[in-house]
Amino acid sequence: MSDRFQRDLVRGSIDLMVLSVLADQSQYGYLIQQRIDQASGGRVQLQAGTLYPLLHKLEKAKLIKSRWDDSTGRKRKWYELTAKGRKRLKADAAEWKQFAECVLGLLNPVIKGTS
Amino acid sequence: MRFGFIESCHQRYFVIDDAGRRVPRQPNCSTLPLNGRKPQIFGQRTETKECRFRFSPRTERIHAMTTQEIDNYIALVSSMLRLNKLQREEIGSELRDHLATRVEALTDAGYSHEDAVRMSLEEFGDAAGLAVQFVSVVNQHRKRWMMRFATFSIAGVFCLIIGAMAMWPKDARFGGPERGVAQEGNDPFAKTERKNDDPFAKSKKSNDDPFAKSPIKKNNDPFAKQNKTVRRAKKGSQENEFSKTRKRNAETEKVLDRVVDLNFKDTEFSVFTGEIEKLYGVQIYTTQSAHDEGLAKDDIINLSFNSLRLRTVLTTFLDEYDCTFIVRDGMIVIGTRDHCPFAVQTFNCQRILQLMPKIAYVAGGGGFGGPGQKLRPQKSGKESAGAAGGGDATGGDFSGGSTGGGGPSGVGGGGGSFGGSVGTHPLTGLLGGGTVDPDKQQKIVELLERMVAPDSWDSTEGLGSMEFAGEILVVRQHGPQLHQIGQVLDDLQTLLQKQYPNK
Repeated sequence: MSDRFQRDLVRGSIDLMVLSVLADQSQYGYLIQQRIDQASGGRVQLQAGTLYPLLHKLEKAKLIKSRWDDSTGRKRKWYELTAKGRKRLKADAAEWKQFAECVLGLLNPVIKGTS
Repeated sequence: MRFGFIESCHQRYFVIDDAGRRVPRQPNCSTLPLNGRKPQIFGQRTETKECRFRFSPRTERIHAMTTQEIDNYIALVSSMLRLNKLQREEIGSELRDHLATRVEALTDAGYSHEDAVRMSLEEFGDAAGLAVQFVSVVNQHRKRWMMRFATFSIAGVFCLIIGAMAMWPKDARFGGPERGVAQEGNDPFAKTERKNDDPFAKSKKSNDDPFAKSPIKKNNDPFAKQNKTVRRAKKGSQENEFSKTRKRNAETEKVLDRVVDLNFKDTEFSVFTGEIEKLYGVQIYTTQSAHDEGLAKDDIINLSFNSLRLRTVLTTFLDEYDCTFIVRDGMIVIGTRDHCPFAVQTFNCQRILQLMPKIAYVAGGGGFGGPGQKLRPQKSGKESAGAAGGGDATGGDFSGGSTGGGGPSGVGGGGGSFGGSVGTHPLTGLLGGGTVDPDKQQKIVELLERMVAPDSWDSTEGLGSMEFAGEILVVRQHGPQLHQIGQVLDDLQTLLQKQYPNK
């Protein structure tokens, strides 16, 4: 098994991962990246060059909103989920669960055979 | 030498330089614990420990170089962002924060500042690629808005059209203008109504009068609506003038339709007209040209007509003097054929055109019909070979019968679906099956020019003319000829309706 998931597997779920990271509390870009990295055990390493355009895209879609904060001495942009984003997250998460179960059902014989 | 402070919090160390900026801790800084020595603490110990330190000259140079690299990178990205200044600045600030945070994390992990900056920048990747991604996000958003705008615009226009159609006068889309007469000349109000009462006709007041049921008398033609709109716009006087003129013309037409007994013997023409005026309450004006060319005021006339319409009497009487008349603004105007003012009248031929068969070919005719030929090959260019023994006529042409077989090589005439029995009548060709096409209009014009005052049309160097405007036939002629045209069209429609009662 490789250290990282295949890019194709990750590509379709990046939006969902970012939204899920923001589900609990506000985060800024670097923290989002780190959270995803930690949650995946380092197998999903979201590049900054991918993350920030994605955050802007989600913001344009009004799934997340941002605010600037410089209380720490550095100008930093914090992101949080909007109501629309939360709704989308729930819907997408449910769909992903069904999708994963479907794929898992198909792959179970293969997985058992491998093990 | 520069002095700064080290801030320690949650086991992370930051350097705050003289300007108050946070600078990542450097492993080679002699005052930092990474070198195995504790930082020099100044002041009281608190949760946030502070200590003064010294940057070595080399560290200062490295910091300056790496910070410059980050600045250059962000400047490069910003320069490639085709966005407004505020957006560029915000993206630059965000990237700067990320890079600084990442550099701190890497230096905390033991990397040199130089390596940390390089690694951070590498994680971001190519500046151009990053800029393209940012721009594409904005462009996608812009495109989405444009699509929405276009969609709403189209929907709005569609709704407007629907609304306009809903508000449109109910019958405006169909039907033709009601028949009326506009007089040639300066009088814009001169119009008259044509009546279905040609004295030579059999029964024009019967209930099956096609025009009685035709859309003409219904209030559903666009011209009538247009007239209404104009009248509404001008509201007062003009509306009254039009309606008054129309009313006067209608009254005079009624008078002309009255059955009269007229007996004048050795009477001057002026006396005759005066008597008519007195008897029937109409004004009669004789043009100077008429006086000059045959009907002088003192000309003695003799006439005796009984139980005839006044229209017929006048037409017959004036014919002898090569004169004619029209009705203008309620007045009967008598003039010579060449100089009498013309009237323009419209006829709604919608129903006739609907009922008329498609005029495609003139049958080869009879039993030996040669190749059929279209009467106006220059327009369609279609030709068809008539089948032997009847050709392929699907309705023929009304001129086919009257000219003894339409095709140049046709022998025996009688084309069309009715064969020779009906084909001898000029209207025969119209009684087949088919659809409306421009040729039908031409055929109607040809028929009328041939049947009504053949020498008076522009095609025979006369002054009368006729032209189709859609389904409306506009005719410029003298009064009696207009009346006859209306009569022929009545006949035609009656025949067609009888032929196709369900059409």
